[in-house]
Amino acid sequence: MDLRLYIASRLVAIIPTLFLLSLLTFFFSKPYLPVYGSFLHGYFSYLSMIFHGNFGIINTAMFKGQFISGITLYFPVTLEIATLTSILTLLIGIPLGTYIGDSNNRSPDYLSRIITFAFYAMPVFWISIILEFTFGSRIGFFSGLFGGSSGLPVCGQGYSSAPNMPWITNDISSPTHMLFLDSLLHGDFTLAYIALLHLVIPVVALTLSMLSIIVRYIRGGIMDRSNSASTRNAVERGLNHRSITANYSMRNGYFPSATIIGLMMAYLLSGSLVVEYFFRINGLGFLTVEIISNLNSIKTNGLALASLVLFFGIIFMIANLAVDLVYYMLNPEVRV
Amino acid sequence: MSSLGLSYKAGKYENETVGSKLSFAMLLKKKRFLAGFIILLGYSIIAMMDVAVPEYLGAGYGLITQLTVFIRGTSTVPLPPTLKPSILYGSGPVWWYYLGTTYDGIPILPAILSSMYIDMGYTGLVVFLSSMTGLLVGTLSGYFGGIVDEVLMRFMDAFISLPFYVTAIGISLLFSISLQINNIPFDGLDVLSIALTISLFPVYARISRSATMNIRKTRYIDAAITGGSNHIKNLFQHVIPNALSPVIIQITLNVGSVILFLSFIEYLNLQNVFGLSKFLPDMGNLIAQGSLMVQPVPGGFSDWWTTAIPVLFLVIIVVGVNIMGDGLRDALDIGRRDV
Repeated sequence: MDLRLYIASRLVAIIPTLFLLSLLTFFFSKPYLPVYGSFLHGYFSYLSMIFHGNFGIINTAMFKGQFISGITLYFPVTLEIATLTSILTLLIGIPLGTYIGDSNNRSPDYLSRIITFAFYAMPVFWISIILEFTFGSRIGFFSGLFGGSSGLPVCGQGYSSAPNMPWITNDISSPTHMLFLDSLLHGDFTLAYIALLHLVIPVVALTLSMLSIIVRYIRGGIMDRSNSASTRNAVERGLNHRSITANYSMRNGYFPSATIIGLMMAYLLSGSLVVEYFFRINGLGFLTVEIISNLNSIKTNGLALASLVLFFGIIFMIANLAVDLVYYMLNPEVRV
Repeated sequence: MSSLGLSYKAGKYENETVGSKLSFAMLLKKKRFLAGFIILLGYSIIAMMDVAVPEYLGAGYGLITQLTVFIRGTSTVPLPPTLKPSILYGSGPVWWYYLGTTYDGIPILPAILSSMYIDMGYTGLVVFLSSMTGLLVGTLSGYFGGIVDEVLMRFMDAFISLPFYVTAIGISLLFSISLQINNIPFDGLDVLSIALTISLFPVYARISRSATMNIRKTRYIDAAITGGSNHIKNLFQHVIPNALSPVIIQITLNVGSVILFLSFIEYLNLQNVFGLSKFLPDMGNLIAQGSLMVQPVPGGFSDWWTTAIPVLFLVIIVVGVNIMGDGLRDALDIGRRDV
């Protein structure tokens, strides 16, 4: 199948899924939506609201205003964290997974798997607490780290460190709302360093809790390859272990993991709820918690929550599509 | 070859034993499976003891529904596990205080033991319901294909697109509200587990669908059809038993999710919405409430045991079940059966 045809067919397949998603969203949030009458009548008035661009009004202590402006303000912050977390997870996860898969069923294999499972089992807010108290700016084991008496910053994104920047007026007002990127583009490397330091602990906390998943997939891929006929053939040809791993296992063993990386990114974009709440980062996760806890019987925030769920759903679909495209391009078997 | 520290087994090509039965006794010989199985069994026995002989906890008869039954005396300061029990602790068996006390003077050891019932029970319920629903939908979809497959999978796509935590919280909010409107008394935990089931089952459907599609292609299904077998018989005799192994592996991954979800609910301060008490005997609740007490002090953490000990118990069960799942996968994978 042609690549363009494949993309087109996938895009067409998204439309019914989107409708079903809106139906599910409506079903789950009906008591909070400003709709009346029967289910079907309510669903159609909900759809007409969406098609008219009425995504609801967010009314929380953190943000008051239209849903769209809330998203444009808070989503980039989450995007920045999700991107950095994905990069760090891959940087640690791929070598670790390869090493574990390579040392099949020996002690490094067991040990690393138990450690990554343990981080997977811990609630992410608990990991955050440990990291905050260990490396954070209060009294901790490493309080002298990164300049002076305080450790790594653990609250907010570092906007308070930039009061004299003309392009920053409040806590979320840099041009793209990603402070690290903005200060880099602005050429202000001191502020970029400060912004990056603010992201270290949240990103590490998320990375630790995500690591087990990627390590498991990479390990599985490598192990499957080392049991394959081509690897066996290479062993029989007398190639050494290192070149087998580098040339046969690694390249082919990473294929199945492509799926999980996209889903991980989508999960991070919607799932950093707890971490953002914990570190008071003005991202989409924190906004979600605020919206959920400000739901009430007079249907404040109801439509905004429904739109938010729809938005997360669309992110998942885009991620899925991207994953399938990458898979399609990498793996010749799918193309027939 | 052993000098490489890695044995390349002939695997798939040497012992082509597709469909050979795997006995439980064979599994128990695998160290990893055995270790995980013992941990799971231990937790389950404690959970069952909470129902069968609840008086072993020393807090009277009947299932423990509130941790307040363990409160003795008036001390609300968390006491460390290293201290010898004294008159300060109030009455109650000495063994209660071996792991210290947590918020409002609740001894941690009996609190954790009594939490096994809710944690293991609801985990089992959620995992069973979601895997069975997913297996049914997935095998039907994968076996029949065509329009059934398209419709079911579009639904699964929509379900999977919903973000896990937001969906689960949203669905449980919906249930709570409609139950409240109809004046039906409800348990917040039941509502939460239904919501978790709904948000978990599409994953099982996806997994069992792809397994089924692979089985559908094999010769023995054709052979069975030629031999006069009908679809229902095929599904239950050939497809489901063979699609079960990836589902079991996914189950081992989901074992911690109920406890983690409850801890997030408690930590995000949403427990009032579901009518959950601050004194619910549940590991997630203990972790969330205890984590509010931890503070950094020079040279360490104050009151670390209030949250670290429940986390330790959670980590033990999740790691144990995951190791068990790994052992199971290696055993079920025909190519690596005797590695």
